[in-house]
Amino acid sequence: MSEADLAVAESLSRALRPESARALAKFAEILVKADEMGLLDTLRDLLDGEVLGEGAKSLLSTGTVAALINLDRISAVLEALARNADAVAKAVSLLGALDRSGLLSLASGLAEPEALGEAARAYMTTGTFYLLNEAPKMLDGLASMKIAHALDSALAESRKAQAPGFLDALNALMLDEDARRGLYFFVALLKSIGASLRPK
Amino acid sequence: MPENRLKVDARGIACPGPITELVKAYRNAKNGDIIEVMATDPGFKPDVEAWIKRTGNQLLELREEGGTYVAVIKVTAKK
Amino acid sequence: MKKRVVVIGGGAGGAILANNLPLEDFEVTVVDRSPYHYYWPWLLYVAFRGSRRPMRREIESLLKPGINFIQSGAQSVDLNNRKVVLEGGKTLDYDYLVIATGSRPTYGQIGGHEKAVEKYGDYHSTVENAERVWKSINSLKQGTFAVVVGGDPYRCPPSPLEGVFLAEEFFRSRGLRDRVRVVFAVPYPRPYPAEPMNEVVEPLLKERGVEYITFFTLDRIEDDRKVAVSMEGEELKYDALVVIPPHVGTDVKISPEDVLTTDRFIQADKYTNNIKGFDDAFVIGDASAVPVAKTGVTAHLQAEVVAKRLQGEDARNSGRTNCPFDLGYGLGTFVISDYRNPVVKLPPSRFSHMAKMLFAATYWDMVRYPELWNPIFEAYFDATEPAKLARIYV
Repeated sequence: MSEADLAVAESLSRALRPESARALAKFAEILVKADEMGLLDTLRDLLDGEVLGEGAKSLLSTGTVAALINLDRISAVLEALARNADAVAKAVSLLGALDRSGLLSLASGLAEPEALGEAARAYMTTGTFYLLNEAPKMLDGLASMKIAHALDSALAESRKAQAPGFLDALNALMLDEDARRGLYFFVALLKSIGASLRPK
Repeated sequence: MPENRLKVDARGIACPGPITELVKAYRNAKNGDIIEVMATDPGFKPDVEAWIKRTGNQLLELREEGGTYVAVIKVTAKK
Repeated sequence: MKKRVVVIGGGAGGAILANNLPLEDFEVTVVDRSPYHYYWPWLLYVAFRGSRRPMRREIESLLKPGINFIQSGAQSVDLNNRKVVLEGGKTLDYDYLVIATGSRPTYGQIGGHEKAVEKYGDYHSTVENAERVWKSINSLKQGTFAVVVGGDPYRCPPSPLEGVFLAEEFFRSRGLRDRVRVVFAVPYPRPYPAEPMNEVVEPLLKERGVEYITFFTLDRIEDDRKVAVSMEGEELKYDALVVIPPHVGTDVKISPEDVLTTDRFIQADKYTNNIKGFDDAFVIGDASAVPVAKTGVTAHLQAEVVAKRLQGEDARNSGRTNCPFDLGYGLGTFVISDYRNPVVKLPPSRFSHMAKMLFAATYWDMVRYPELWNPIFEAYFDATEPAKLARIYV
């Protein structure tokens, strides 16, 4: 056993007080359940380098993230954990806290096919699919809107003018066509959110 | 050699499309054979017409009955 | 008494079907000539990306404990007497039969085809042939790279164009795009046979300078002259060429023989997958002659329908397709349609590409753990019904 390993073992034994041990046991139960359901296999398959790289390539354009992903992820993380014994100890005591807060029981309840199916039904809607499809394009659009430029001009305006009265600001807002369009978009959005909240 | 009549039922095919069924029958046909294709995809009619024009085979009949297109083709253009 | 179900074929359709049957009520036996289950869509990345990621797993490891697996080819099926004879001579009696033997490329319909595959490879048959394609594109420094659709049907309708898009990206990334022409030839009136999807992909071909020839029904390949010749005598010159091979159906002897089409696909009801004239025998996936694309998602959905029908539920196929379509450069789309709705015009997006990759990664788990994945897929298929999407993507 190397010195680093010894340090890990030491801080682990410090961390493994009876209450955290109980939490760990519960966590292990969740892991076993997740394994039976195929969740762990799925995670392992998702962590495949080639696939992760491909996925990242299609979503991220910065080379940094791609480079990070190309590191030998799992073993690097594990190594980092081993080097940082205190963090491991902290994580174990965090499990204890999680258990006390009831979150572990919740997670254990979530690790059920029915629960996941319910979640899938709730979140996988035609709208979600549309949004996911269009999100990269929207983000590109946002980036190209020169947000910085808009901020600059707002800053210049605010310096030039004396503190505007509320009515002045409203006036300026209502006279500008772009501002009006944006405003009506928000109004429409708020209306539809409001409608969905109306008591049945 | 006797003339063959090949019947192709491509009703209900949306993807990849009924034209692929015609192409399949055409591969296995010889000059003089008759191919009869039934399809429901609305894109089938213009596709058959374009296919006839480009390949030089003979369209004997193209009719629509109750949402089904029936094309009767005589294979003549094979070299 | 448990019902005896014999499943011939341990691929996507067969394995998913077996895993969806409750073993308290059914005694399930899967037979397959090969010990392996292949994730065929990955051949594309072996051929055009040089991927070495394993694309097969042992069938036994994908079946739930309690399902019998016999590694043996089926020699013959007697539908009238409910018997399957295996290659070793062993006979299996069944209460229900599911044929899921898939489809396979055939090389006898196009002159010079076999020689061309030996030389340039293809990506619809074996890993070795896909590796040959990777070698072919790596050794082509100038000239014409041609992808030719050799005939119908073939597995995965988007796959010919996926190869074209990835090849174009490959040559561009190597700085060879001005010296290598990429040409695509199809027997159809347009690059993608279904019109709405063609409206999505044809502009991309134009944008990327890919040339395409329509109405080209391949007759033969004359490799000494390096030309592909159409049935009407039109010639296409190439320096390297990949032909999408036409596929045929099962090689299992089946009686009565009239359930088979001339190219050995098995005729069945398109809603229930019952083999024509038999209420105790089914065919799912590529092996069937029902009018729907030959793709894993079809096999998957049909397997679920048949599993439900065996349990007494009146489940029916919608004819849904959901084929991931790699468009190169990290973009993708899906070919979504069903019996009642034409293909959706889903525009290229990075999300679709990522979804394809995530699917590839978790494929094995989807086969192995239906309890987890069925409800998730159900939600997905419901959210992406072609009728609903058609209202957004006009």
